[in-house]
Amino acid sequence: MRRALFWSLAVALSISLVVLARLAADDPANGQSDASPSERLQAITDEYNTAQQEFSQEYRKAETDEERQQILNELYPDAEEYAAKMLDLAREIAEDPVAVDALVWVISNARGGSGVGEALEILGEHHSDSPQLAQVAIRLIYARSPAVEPFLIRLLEESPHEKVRGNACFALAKYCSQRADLVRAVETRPELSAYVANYYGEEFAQRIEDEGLAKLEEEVEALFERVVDEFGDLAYQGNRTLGDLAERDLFEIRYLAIGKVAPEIEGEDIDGVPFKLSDYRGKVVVLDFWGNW
Amino acid sequence: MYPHERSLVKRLAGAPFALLGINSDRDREALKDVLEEEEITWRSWWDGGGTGGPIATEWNVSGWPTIYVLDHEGVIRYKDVRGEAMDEAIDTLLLAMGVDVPEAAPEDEQ
Repeated sequence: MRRALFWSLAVALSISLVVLARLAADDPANGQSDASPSERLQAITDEYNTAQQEFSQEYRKAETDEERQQILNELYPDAEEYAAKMLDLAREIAEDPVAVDALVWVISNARGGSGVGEALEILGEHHSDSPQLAQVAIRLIYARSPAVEPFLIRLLEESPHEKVRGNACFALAKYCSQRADLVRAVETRPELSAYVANYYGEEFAQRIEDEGLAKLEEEVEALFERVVDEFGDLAYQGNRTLGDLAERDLFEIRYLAIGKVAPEIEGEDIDGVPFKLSDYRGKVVVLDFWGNW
Repeated sequence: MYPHERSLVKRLAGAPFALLGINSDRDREALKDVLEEEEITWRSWWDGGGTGGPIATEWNVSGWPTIYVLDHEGVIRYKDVRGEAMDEAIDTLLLAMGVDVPEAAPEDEQ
Protein backbone atom coordinates (compact mmCIF):
# COMPACT_ATOMS: atom_id res chain seq x y z
CA MET A 1 0.00 0.00 0.00
CA ARG A 2 2.66 2.45 1.12
CA ARG A 3 4.84 1.55 -1.79
CA ALA A 4 2.01 2.14 -4.27
CA LEU A 5 1.33 5.54 -2.74
CA PHE A 6 5.03 6.42 -2.94
CA TRP A 7 5.15 5.57 -6.64
CA SER A 8 2.01 7.36 -7.59
CA LEU A 9 3.24 10.47 -5.76
CA ALA A 10 6.61 10.20 -7.42
CA VAL A 11 5.03 9.90 -10.85
CA ALA A 12 2.66 12.80 -10.19
CA LEU A 13 5.56 14.89 -8.98
CA SER A 14 7.76 14.18 -11.98
CA ILE A 15 4.90 14.90 -14.38
CA SER A 16 4.21 18.20 -12.71
CA LEU A 17 7.92 19.07 -12.81
CA VAL A 18 7.98 18.37 -16.54
CA VAL A 19 4.86 20.49 -17.02
CA LEU A 20 6.36 23.33 -14.99
CA ALA A 21 9.59 23.19 -16.93
CA ARG A 22 7.63 23.29 -20.19
CA LEU A 23 5.57 26.21 -19.05
CA ALA A 24 8.70 28.08 -18.08
CA ALA A 25 10.39 27.27 -21.38
CA ASP A 26 7.34 28.23 -23.44
CA ASP A 27 6.93 31.62 -21.86
CA PRO A 28 9.78 33.94 -22.73
CA ALA A 29 8.84 36.25 -19.87
CA ASN A 30 9.58 33.38 -17.52
CA GLY A 31 12.90 32.70 -19.10
CA GLN A 32 14.58 33.61 -15.88
CA SER A 33 12.32 31.66 -13.58
CA ASP A 34 15.37 29.78 -12.26
CA ALA A 35 16.94 33.07 -11.30
CA SER A 36 16.70 34.23 -7.72
CA PRO A 37 14.70 37.39 -6.93
CA SER A 38 17.86 39.43 -6.57
CA GLU A 39 19.21 38.14 -9.89
CA ARG A 40 15.96 39.14 -11.54
CA LEU A 41 16.13 42.58 -9.95
CA GLN A 42 19.71 42.90 -11.17
CA ALA A 43 18.71 41.86 -14.70
CA ILE A 44 16.11 44.64 -14.98
CA THR A 45 18.52 47.18 -13.48
CA ASP A 46 21.25 46.12 -15.93
CA GLU A 47 18.84 46.31 -18.85
CA TYR A 48 17.93 49.88 -17.89
CA ASN A 49 21.53 50.94 -17.33
CA THR A 50 22.60 49.46 -20.67
CA ALA A 51 19.80 51.33 -22.43
CA GLN A 52 20.92 54.53 -20.72
CA GLN A 53 24.54 54.01 -21.74
CA GLU A 54 23.53 53.26 -25.30
CA PHE A 55 21.46 56.43 -25.37
CA SER A 56 24.21 58.67 -24.02
CA GLN A 57 26.83 57.19 -26.36
CA GLU A 58 24.67 57.90 -29.39
CA TYR A 59 23.67 61.29 -28.03
CA ARG A 60 27.28 62.33 -27.65
CA LYS A 61 28.01 61.18 -31.21
CA ALA A 62 25.17 63.24 -32.70
CA GLU A 63 26.25 66.38 -34.50
CA THR A 64 23.07 68.30 -35.20
CA ASP A 65 20.16 69.32 -32.99
CA GLU A 66 17.92 67.34 -35.29
CA GLU A 67 19.93 64.17 -34.74
CA ARG A 68 19.98 64.77 -31.03
CA GLN A 69 16.20 65.17 -30.95
CA GLN A 70 15.76 61.97 -32.95
CA ILE A 71 18.05 60.00 -30.62
CA LEU A 72 16.19 61.45 -27.65
CA ASN A 73 12.87 60.32 -29.11
CA GLU A 74 14.06 56.88 -30.11
CA LEU A 75 16.62 55.79 -27.55
CA TYR A 76 15.96 57.62 -24.30
CA PRO A 77 14.91 54.80 -21.98
CA ASP A 78 11.43 55.25 -20.58
CA ALA A 79 11.75 54.82 -16.81
CA GLU A 80 8.02 54.10 -16.60
CA GLU A 81 8.48 51.00 -18.74
CA TYR A 82 11.18 49.63 -16.41
CA ALA A 83 9.14 50.68 -13.38
CA ALA A 84 6.33 48.47 -14.71
CA LYS A 85 8.75 45.52 -14.85
CA MET A 86 9.94 46.25 -11.33
CA LEU A 87 6.33 46.38 -10.14
CA ASP A 88 5.57 43.05 -11.81
CA LEU A 89 8.55 41.49 -10.08
CA ALA A 90 7.63 43.04 -6.74
CA ARG A 91 4.05 41.78 -6.97
CA GLU A 92 5.26 38.28 -7.73
CA ILE A 93 7.71 38.14 -4.83
CA ALA A 94 5.77 40.54 -2.61
CA GLU A 95 6.93 39.04 0.72
CA ASP A 96 10.62 38.91 -0.25
CA PRO A 97 12.90 41.73 1.00
CA VAL A 98 14.14 42.06 -2.61
CA ALA A 99 10.66 43.40 -3.47
CA VAL A 100 11.52 46.45 -1.35
CA ASP A 101 14.62 47.10 -3.48
CA ALA A 102 12.56 46.80 -6.67
CA LEU A 103 10.04 49.28 -5.28
CA VAL A 104 12.80 51.66 -4.17
CA TRP A 105 13.90 51.65 -7.80
CA VAL A 106 10.38 52.61 -8.91
CA ILE A 107 10.15 55.42 -6.37
CA SER A 108 13.63 56.76 -7.23
CA ASN A 109 13.53 56.49 -11.02
CA ALA A 110 9.88 57.01 -11.90
CA ARG A 111 9.11 59.38 -9.05
CA GLY A 112 6.32 61.30 -10.76
CA GLY A 113 4.73 58.24 -12.32
CA SER A 114 1.59 56.32 -11.53
CA GLY A 115 3.78 53.48 -10.22
CA VAL A 116 4.61 55.36 -7.01
CA GLY A 117 1.12 54.84 -5.58
CA GLU A 118 1.18 51.16 -6.39
CA ALA A 119 4.70 50.73 -5.00
CA LEU A 120 3.58 52.27 -1.72
CA GLU A 121 0.53 50.02 -1.63
CA ILE A 122 2.70 46.88 -1.88
CA LEU A 123 5.16 48.23 0.70
CA GLY A 124 2.32 49.13 3.07
CA GLU A 125 0.71 45.73 2.74
CA HIS A 126 3.78 43.47 2.98
CA HIS A 127 6.66 45.43 4.49
CA SER A 128 5.19 48.02 6.82
CA ASP A 129 7.41 46.82 9.70
CA SER A 130 10.61 46.54 7.64
CA PRO A 131 13.69 48.52 8.69
CA GLN A 132 14.38 48.97 4.94
CA LEU A 133 11.64 51.60 4.94
CA ALA A 134 14.18 54.04 6.44
CA GLN A 135 15.74 54.43 2.99
CA VAL A 136 12.35 54.31 1.27
CA ALA A 137 11.26 57.34 3.32
CA ILE A 138 14.25 59.40 2.15
CA ARG A 139 13.66 58.44 -1.49
CA LEU A 140 10.08 59.68 -1.20
CA ILE A 141 11.21 63.28 -0.61
CA TYR A 142 11.31 63.89 -4.35
CA ALA A 143 8.43 61.62 -5.35
CA ARG A 144 5.24 63.26 -6.52
CA SER A 145 2.10 61.37 -5.74
CA PRO A 146 -0.89 61.92 -3.47
CA ALA A 147 0.03 58.56 -1.88
CA VAL A 148 3.29 59.87 -0.37
CA GLU A 149 1.88 61.96 2.49
CA PRO A 150 -0.42 59.30 4.05
CA PHE A 151 2.33 56.68 3.65
CA LEU A 152 4.95 58.78 5.46
CA ILE A 153 2.47 59.69 8.20
CA ARG A 154 1.77 56.01 8.72
CA LEU A 155 5.50 55.22 8.98
CA LEU A 156 6.00 58.11 11.39
CA GLU A 157 3.19 56.98 13.66
CA GLU A 158 3.40 53.19 13.37
CA SER A 159 6.84 51.86 12.42
CA PRO A 160 8.50 49.83 15.20
CA HIS A 161 11.92 51.24 14.18
CA GLU A 162 13.01 54.64 15.48
CA LYS A 163 15.21 55.14 12.40
CA VAL A 164 12.22 54.65 10.11
CA ARG A 165 10.05 57.02 12.17
CA GLY A 166 12.80 59.66 12.20
CA ASN A 167 13.50 59.46 8.49
CA ALA A 168 9.75 59.50 7.77
CA CYS A 169 9.34 62.67 9.85
CA PHE A 170 12.24 64.38 8.06
CA ALA A 171 11.08 63.17 4.62
CA LEU A 172 7.53 64.34 5.32
CA ALA A 173 8.85 67.77 6.29
CA LYS A 174 10.96 68.00 3.11
CA TYR A 175 8.14 66.71 0.92
CA CYS A 176 5.64 69.20 2.35
CA SER A 177 8.23 71.95 2.05
CA GLN A 178 8.64 71.28 -1.68
CA ARG A 179 4.91 71.16 -2.11
CA ALA A 180 4.71 74.56 -0.41
CA ASP A 181 7.45 75.86 -2.74
CA LEU A 182 5.31 74.94 -5.74
CA VAL A 183 2.21 76.57 -4.24
CA ARG A 184 4.30 79.70 -3.56
CA ALA A 185 5.63 79.70 -7.13
CA VAL A 186 2.05 79.62 -8.46
CA GLU A 187 1.43 83.01 -6.80
CA THR A 188 3.85 84.68 -9.21
CA ARG A 189 3.52 82.19 -12.08
CA PRO A 190 -0.16 81.16 -12.36
CA GLU A 191 0.66 78.97 -15.37
CA LEU A 192 2.15 76.47 -12.90
CA SER A 193 -1.15 75.94 -11.11
CA ALA A 194 -2.04 72.77 -13.07
CA TYR A 195 1.02 71.05 -11.58
CA VAL A 196 -0.34 71.31 -8.04
CA ALA A 197 -3.18 68.87 -8.74
CA ASN A 198 -1.08 66.84 -11.19
CA TYR A 199 1.69 66.22 -8.69
CA TYR A 200 -0.13 66.19 -5.40
CA GLY A 201 -3.76 65.37 -6.19
CA GLU A 202 -7.09 67.18 -6.46
CA GLU A 203 -7.73 66.87 -2.75
CA PHE A 204 -4.53 68.77 -1.96
CA ALA A 205 -5.32 71.45 -4.56
CA GLN A 206 -8.69 71.92 -2.85
CA ARG A 207 -7.03 72.10 0.57
CA ILE A 208 -4.85 74.96 -0.66
CA GLU A 209 -7.96 76.77 -1.94
CA ASP A 210 -9.58 76.36 1.47
CA GLU A 211 -6.67 76.89 3.85
CA GLY A 212 -4.08 78.91 1.94
CA LEU A 213 -0.30 78.85 1.87
CA ALA A 214 0.34 80.21 5.37
CA LYS A 215 -1.27 77.17 7.01
CA LEU A 216 0.91 74.91 4.87
CA GLU A 217 4.05 76.79 5.86
CA GLU A 218 3.19 76.48 9.55
CA GLU A 219 2.81 72.72 9.09
CA VAL A 220 6.22 72.46 7.41
CA GLU A 221 7.92 74.38 10.22
CA ALA A 222 6.21 72.23 12.85
CA LEU A 223 7.40 69.06 11.11
CA PHE A 224 11.04 70.23 11.04
CA GLU A 225 10.73 71.19 14.71
CA ARG A 226 9.43 67.72 15.46
CA VAL A 227 12.49 66.22 13.71
CA VAL A 228 14.79 68.27 15.95
CA ASP A 229 12.84 67.53 19.15
CA GLU A 230 12.13 63.82 18.69
CA PHE A 231 14.75 62.51 16.25
CA GLY A 232 17.50 65.15 16.34
CA ASP A 233 20.27 62.77 17.47
CA LEU A 234 19.67 60.09 14.82
CA ALA A 235 22.52 59.70 12.32
CA TYR A 236 21.70 60.62 8.75
CA GLN A 237 24.79 60.41 6.56
CA GLY A 238 28.43 60.63 7.53
CA ASN A 239 28.59 62.45 10.85
CA ARG A 240 25.50 64.54 10.24
CA THR A 241 22.32 63.99 12.20
CA LEU A 242 18.71 64.48 11.20
CA GLY A 243 18.75 67.35 13.69
CA ASP A 244 21.57 69.12 11.79
CA LEU A 245 19.64 68.89 8.55
CA ALA A 246 16.33 69.99 10.02
CA GLU A 247 18.06 72.96 11.69
CA ARG A 248 19.26 74.09 8.28
CA ASP A 249 15.73 74.00 6.92
CA LEU A 250 14.44 75.85 9.99
CA PHE A 251 17.11 78.52 9.41
CA GLU A 252 15.92 78.88 5.83
CA ILE A 253 12.27 79.16 6.91
CA ARG A 254 13.05 81.71 9.65
CA TYR A 255 15.79 83.85 8.08
CA LEU A 256 15.85 83.23 4.33
CA ALA A 257 12.17 83.67 3.52
CA ILE A 258 10.83 86.39 1.26
CA GLY A 259 10.46 89.54 3.32
CA LYS A 260 13.41 88.81 5.67
CA VAL A 261 16.62 90.84 5.68
CA ALA A 262 19.27 88.59 4.15
CA PRO A 263 21.93 87.39 6.61
CA GLU A 264 25.41 88.86 6.15
CA ILE A 265 27.75 87.03 3.80
CA GLU A 266 31.45 87.52 4.45
CA GLY A 267 34.29 85.87 2.62
CA GLU A 268 36.85 86.34 -0.07
CA ASP A 269 36.42 86.55 -3.83
CA ILE A 270 38.10 84.21 -6.31
CA ASP A 271 41.30 86.29 -6.14
CA GLY A 272 41.34 86.22 -2.35
CA VAL A 273 40.08 89.76 -1.75
CA PRO A 274 37.67 89.92 1.23
CA PHE A 275 34.24 91.49 0.74
CA LYS A 276 30.79 91.30 2.27
CA LEU A 277 27.17 91.50 1.24
CA SER A 278 26.44 94.62 3.32
CA ASP A 279 28.98 96.52 1.14
CA TYR A 280 26.19 96.47 -1.47
CA ARG A 281 23.45 98.01 0.65
CA GLY A 282 21.67 100.63 -1.47
CA LYS A 283 21.77 98.41 -4.54
CA VAL A 284 19.42 95.77 -5.83
CA VAL A 285 21.42 92.54 -5.50
CA VAL A 286 21.09 89.19 -7.23
CA LEU A 287 22.75 86.38 -5.28
CA ASP A 288 23.61 83.57 -7.63
CA PHE A 289 24.81 80.30 -6.08
CA TRP A 290 26.65 78.79 -9.02
CA GLY A 291 29.26 76.36 -10.22
CA ASN A 292 30.84 75.87 -13.61
CA TRP A 293 29.37 72.39 -14.19
CA MET B 1 23.33 81.18 -17.99
CA TYR B 2 26.48 83.18 -18.76
CA PRO B 3 25.23 85.03 -21.89
CA HIS B 4 22.07 86.09 -20.06
CA GLU B 5 24.01 87.24 -17.02
CA ARG B 6 26.55 89.07 -19.18
CA SER B 7 23.84 91.06 -20.97
CA LEU B 8 22.05 91.75 -17.67
CA VAL B 9 25.21 93.15 -16.09
CA LYS B 10 25.92 95.19 -19.20
CA ARG B 11 22.39 96.58 -19.43
CA LEU B 12 22.37 97.65 -15.76
CA ALA B 13 25.99 98.86 -15.65
CA GLY B 14 24.94 102.38 -14.60
CA ALA B 15 22.12 101.33 -12.26
CA PRO B 16 22.28 100.65 -8.50
CA PHE B 17 22.51 96.95 -9.15
CA ALA B 18 24.99 94.15 -8.45
CA LEU B 19 25.14 90.52 -9.48
CA LEU B 20 27.09 88.59 -6.85
CA GLY B 21 28.00 84.94 -7.14
CA ILE B 22 28.69 82.32 -4.51
CA ASN B 23 30.88 79.82 -6.30
CA SER B 24 31.02 76.15 -5.34
CA ASP B 25 33.60 74.89 -7.82
CA ARG B 26 36.39 72.61 -6.63
CA ASP B 27 39.33 74.04 -8.52
CA ARG B 28 40.04 77.71 -7.94
CA GLU B 29 42.76 78.05 -10.57
CA ALA B 30 40.60 76.38 -13.24
CA LEU B 31 37.77 78.72 -12.27
CA LYS B 32 39.99 81.75 -12.92
CA ASP B 33 40.38 80.53 -16.51
CA VAL B 34 36.60 80.14 -16.82
CA LEU B 35 36.08 83.71 -15.58
CA GLU B 36 38.38 84.95 -18.29
CA GLU B 37 37.05 82.77 -21.12
CA GLU B 38 33.42 83.46 -20.33
CA GLU B 39 34.00 87.17 -19.61
CA ILE B 40 32.51 86.83 -16.14
CA THR B 41 33.13 90.27 -14.72
CA TRP B 42 30.85 90.07 -11.72
CA ARG B 43 32.25 89.20 -8.33
CA SER B 44 31.86 85.87 -6.58
CA TRP B 45 32.67 84.61 -3.13
CA TRP B 46 34.89 81.54 -3.15
CA ASP B 47 32.91 79.07 -1.05
CA GLY B 48 35.72 76.79 -0.01
CA GLY B 49 35.98 74.49 -3.02
CA GLY B 50 32.86 72.35 -3.09
CA THR B 51 29.11 72.24 -2.72
CA GLY B 52 29.39 71.82 1.06
CA GLY B 53 31.01 75.23 1.59
CA PRO B 54 30.10 77.46 4.56
CA ILE B 55 27.93 79.95 2.63
CA ALA B 56 25.95 77.35 0.66
CA THR B 57 25.51 75.36 3.87
CA GLU B 58 24.18 78.31 5.88
CA TRP B 59 21.86 79.24 3.00
CA ASN B 60 20.69 75.61 2.80
CA VAL B 61 21.38 75.45 -0.92
CA SER B 62 20.85 72.01 -2.42
CA GLY B 63 20.53 72.85 -6.13
CA TRP B 64 22.69 74.97 -8.42
CA PRO B 65 22.05 77.58 -9.60
CA THR B 66 19.94 78.97 -6.76
CA ILE B 67 18.93 82.60 -7.07
CA TYR B 68 17.92 85.19 -4.47
CA VAL B 69 16.94 88.75 -5.41
CA LEU B 70 17.37 91.37 -2.65
CA ASP B 71 16.07 94.92 -2.70
CA HIS B 72 18.29 97.93 -1.94
CA GLU B 73 17.66 97.51 1.79
CA GLY B 74 18.91 93.92 1.77
CA VAL B 75 15.44 92.38 2.06
CA ILE B 76 14.89 89.08 0.22
CA ARG B 77 12.18 89.82 -2.35
CA TYR B 78 12.33 86.93 -4.84
CA LYS B 79 13.70 83.40 -4.87
CA ASP B 80 14.57 81.14 -7.77
CA VAL B 81 13.51 83.44 -10.55
CA ARG B 82 15.25 82.67 -13.84
CA GLY B 83 15.66 84.26 -17.24
CA GLU B 84 13.04 86.85 -18.07
CA ALA B 85 11.36 86.46 -14.69
CA MET B 86 14.65 87.43 -13.02
CA ASP B 87 14.99 90.50 -15.24
CA GLU B 88 11.43 91.53 -14.43
CA ALA B 89 12.03 91.08 -10.71
CA ILE B 90 15.14 93.27 -10.81
CA ASP B 91 13.44 95.93 -12.93
CA THR B 92 10.46 96.01 -10.56
CA LEU B 93 12.76 96.66 -7.60
CA LEU B 94 14.75 99.32 -9.46
CA LEU B 95 11.57 101.08 -10.58
CA ALA B 96 10.33 101.07 -6.99
CA MET B 97 13.53 102.95 -6.07
CA GLY B 98 12.68 105.55 -8.74
CA VAL B 99 15.48 104.40 -11.05
CA ASP B 100 15.02 104.76 -14.80
CA VAL B 101 15.58 101.20 -15.93
CA PRO B 102 17.56 100.99 -19.17
CA GLU B 103 16.13 98.84 -21.94
CA ALA B 104 18.39 96.16 -23.39
CA ALA B 105 20.60 97.44 -26.19
CA PRO B 106 19.45 95.81 -29.45
CA GLU B 107 22.66 93.81 -29.89
CA ASP B 108 22.26 92.35 -26.39
CA GLU B 109 18.83 90.87 -26.87
CA GLN B 110 18.89 87.11 -26.50
